[in-house]
Formats: sequence, C-alpha cells, structure tokens
Amino acid sequence: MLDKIDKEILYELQDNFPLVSRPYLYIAKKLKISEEEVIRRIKRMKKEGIIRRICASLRHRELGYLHNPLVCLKVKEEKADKIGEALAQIEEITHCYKRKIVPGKWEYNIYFVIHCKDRGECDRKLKEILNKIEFESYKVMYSTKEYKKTYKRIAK
Amino acid sequence: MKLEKKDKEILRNLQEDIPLTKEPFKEIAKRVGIEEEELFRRIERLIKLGIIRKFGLRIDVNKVGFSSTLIGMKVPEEQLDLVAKETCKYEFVTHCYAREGEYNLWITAIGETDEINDFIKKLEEKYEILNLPVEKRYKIRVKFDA
Repeated sequence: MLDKIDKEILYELQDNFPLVSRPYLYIAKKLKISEEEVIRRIKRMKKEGIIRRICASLRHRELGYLHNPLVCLKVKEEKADKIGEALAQIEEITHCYKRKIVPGKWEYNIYFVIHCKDRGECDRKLKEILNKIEFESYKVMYSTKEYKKTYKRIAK
Repeated sequence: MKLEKKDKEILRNLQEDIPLTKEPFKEIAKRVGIEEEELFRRIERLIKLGIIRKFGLRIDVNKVGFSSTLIGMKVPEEQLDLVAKETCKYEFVTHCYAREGEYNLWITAIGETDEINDFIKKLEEKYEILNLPVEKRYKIRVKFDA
C-alpha cells in the first residue's frame, strides 16, 4: 500500500530527476524527511514492483530507430506463458504482453513490439523470431505515423 | 544526430538503473570517466536536444491503481489524421500510432478505470474497435544504442 509520502516521492521523481550530487537528499528536504528514508522507501517500492527502474527514456526516432512493428500472435492458451517468457528474452523486443482476445473477431493473445533502424533488418529479425515459436496465426503491423508517444504522469 | 562517444556512454548508463546510493551520479561519472559536473552538463544538453525524453522513475501504472489497454480502431483513411489528433488530446492516451492493416489506428490508454471505460464506450459508438486489455506483462524494457 502506498501512503502519502510514497505518493509524493513518485510524483517528485517520475520525471525531471534532480541533476544534483545528492538527488535523494534534495527530495528529502522538499518532503521534510531524511535522505535515508527516501532511499528506503524507493527500495521498498522497487521490491513491491511499483517502481520498475530509475532511468532515462530516449526518443528512439532521434536515434534512428524508425521501425516499430506491433506483432500479434495467436498461440495456444496453455503455451502462452512459455512463449511470452521466451519472447521477453529477446533483446530487440521492448514490450511483450498477453492480452484479452475478442472471440470470433480478433483471437490474437500475445503481443510484442520490436524496434529497428531499417525495415530489412526488422523483417529479418521478425522472421528469425517467428521461426522459433509455435503459433497458429500472426499479424505484423508496421507503424506508418507516430501521433503521440508519452507516459502516464502521476498526479499529486 | 551525431553524438560524442562520451554522450553515448552516458546514455548507455542512464538507461540502466540509477544506483540507490547517496551520490549516484558520482558513480556514473566514474564509469564514464568524467567529472560529475561534466556529467550534469552533458545530461542537460541531451535533454535539451530531445534525445532524452524522460529521466526518472519508471512506475508500474497498474500497481498504482490505473487501468491500461490497447485499442485498435478502424478509421476511414481520409479521416485518420483528424481522428488521431482528436484522440491524442486526452491526457490518458499515452501512445497513438497509425499502422498498416484493417485496424489502422492504435492507441494505448492509461487512466482511472471509469474514464477509460467511458472513453471506450464513446469510441464504440463511432468506430469499429478492438479493446485489448493486458492480462499479463512479460516485458517492458526499452533500451537503445545511441
């Protein structure tokens, strides 16, 4: 469970992480708690899986990663976890989920996204991935335009 | 964008978990082989250049009480830009891409359960959509070579 101070830590550090020598002290002073407590609480929230990581997100298009196909797979329910976990090990795969199906209309249950610099490389990589797994059908959807890419901000 | 070797080194380090020690940047600066002051200067520059999009906590949105879903929409091709722009106005729409295929607009929505349900209902009145909530997450790890 998150208390008020946890939420304030999440709010303060979700973006614009302080670029100072002692960032946790900086936040501690703001919240009127100790530096140790900030670190302790972050450690706890990491353990609970609330905080996944403290890191930088890059604008992948600026770095030349222009291709990010979304791939949907229809796999046997009992094999879904094994396949999902295997896909998660692949470096180029950035996101991998199991999602609810829409029976009779859209029965893909495993979804992943890969990021590549050129389309040929992407096609080759996808072929290699798809060769390794057992599925009934699949769909590859390259993006043709990016309209929005942001993240969910936590309110105070 | 041409980046210096040191910047690439910094980006590689910052995409990993920042140490939970009192002086995390001193450690990173040491790894890169520069002074902490130079590290800050370079990070600030990378943010300004737009290479770094966000620097901070990666939070599991579902664990703090939000619902999240992927929505595929069938939109007439000539209305695609307009519908996309309308949809992107919502704060809870975090991603929006046009994609190849019969469902040509794909949105990720993250927010309060009620607002997401209302949003889906409204979309369903106008378009043929697929609502595909997450059942299980196997991976989120976005990491790039600079």
